[in-house]
Amino acid sequence: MNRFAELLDRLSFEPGRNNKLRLITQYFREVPDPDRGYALAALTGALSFKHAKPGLIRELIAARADPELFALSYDYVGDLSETVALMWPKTLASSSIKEPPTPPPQGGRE
Amino acid sequence: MHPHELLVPTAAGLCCKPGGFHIDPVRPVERALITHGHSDHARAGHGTVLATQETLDMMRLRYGDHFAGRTRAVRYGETLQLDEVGVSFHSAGHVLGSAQIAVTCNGLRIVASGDYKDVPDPTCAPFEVVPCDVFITEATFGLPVFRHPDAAHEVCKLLDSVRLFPERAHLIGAYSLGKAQRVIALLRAAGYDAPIYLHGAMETITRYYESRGIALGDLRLVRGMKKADLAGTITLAPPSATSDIWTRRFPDPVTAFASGWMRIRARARQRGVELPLVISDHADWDGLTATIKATGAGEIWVTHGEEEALVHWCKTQGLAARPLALVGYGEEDDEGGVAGGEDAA
Repeated sequence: MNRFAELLDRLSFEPGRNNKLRLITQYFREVPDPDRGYALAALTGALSFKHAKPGLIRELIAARADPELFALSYDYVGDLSETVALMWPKTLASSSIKEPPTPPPQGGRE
Repeated sequence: MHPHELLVPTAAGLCCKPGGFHIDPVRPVERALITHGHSDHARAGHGTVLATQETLDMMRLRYGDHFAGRTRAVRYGETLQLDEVGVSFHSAGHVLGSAQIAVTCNGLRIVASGDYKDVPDPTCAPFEVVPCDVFITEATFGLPVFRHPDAAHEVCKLLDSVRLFPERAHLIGAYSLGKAQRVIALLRAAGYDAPIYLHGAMETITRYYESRGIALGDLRLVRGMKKADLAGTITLAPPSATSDIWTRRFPDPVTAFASGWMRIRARARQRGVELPLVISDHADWDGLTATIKATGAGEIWVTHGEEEALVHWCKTQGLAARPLALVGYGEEDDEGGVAGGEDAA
């Protein structure tokens, strides 16, 4: 879903409506299923993530980063998810731990 | 010899008393050794300046012929004896002509790295690891959130955007010494062979890079161009110009900024950047920590940037480390860039 993440980044920085539409159109043209379907659901607010809450995110990073380095980083960046995403260890995901299959998203809102 | 007898921070900058010189002094001194041409490190008004030929040339271009009383060009790897002290310059990989300065006396060696990066750059010599007892490192991106992606990937993002918005102009903010030329070289390496346009402030240094054998392709000044003819083009400008009235000459410009700061969304928003490009001429967190280990130094002095986190990391690795209280360094002051000391709110 890195391509989707790039789309969201680009949309969040782009002020023009027509330019946003062009970015979205291009994304749906070039990205295959099922990522495209998840993206559509995410963009239209049809996805919910029961477990991805700040407490869990803090726990995950606490198990992977030096607490002082995390505190300094969080203080600097100001956003919890962004801090964790940026300092997430590179090697852990690719080597020692196998990436779990993407779970099917849950339809509807809580 | 205690490291502090060899190099000591003073108000004018890092001072070597037994060698009778300062490194990158911020005030006029008798004898200055300069690591690279950025204006916060290379200032005019010193008695004698020792630096690489490229750094001396850049200082001359920026400050005029009388920027120093005397100059002496030093080659990478050449060793000089200054009073009791041996001095050598080694490539820092930061910008063209950038150097780390190794200072040796009575078997003790300290390396002042200036600004550096440990990743490939088509516009300058690669970083050289210089084994030493004390390593003085910058910490511009000294937090583990700063991990620069591959610069080629960032340039692909830019080219994708140019293809998607052929009726808009792409305006890239980039520091005029080093970053701009690197971005141009990366664009050429990615196969982009259309003319690239320059803000007037970029011209002198860019032409200097070309004169040193760095091929940058078809470059043109944006001055005098018709607005409609700038659709679908790429222009490089100093960061301050990209938020200026100057941008009105471009058709619906996409504002990009090539900088390591662009890793942080709030930083990009703060500057009104629509296309952040994480391209940095400083080592990222992984680069800083890998370099510190590679030097084999047992003691690390940390300067300009996020000293606290890097000092903490060094201690967790069993290295003696402390922040060096040096003031006056950050991003180039003449370009209104995101200053290193600026509040990071």
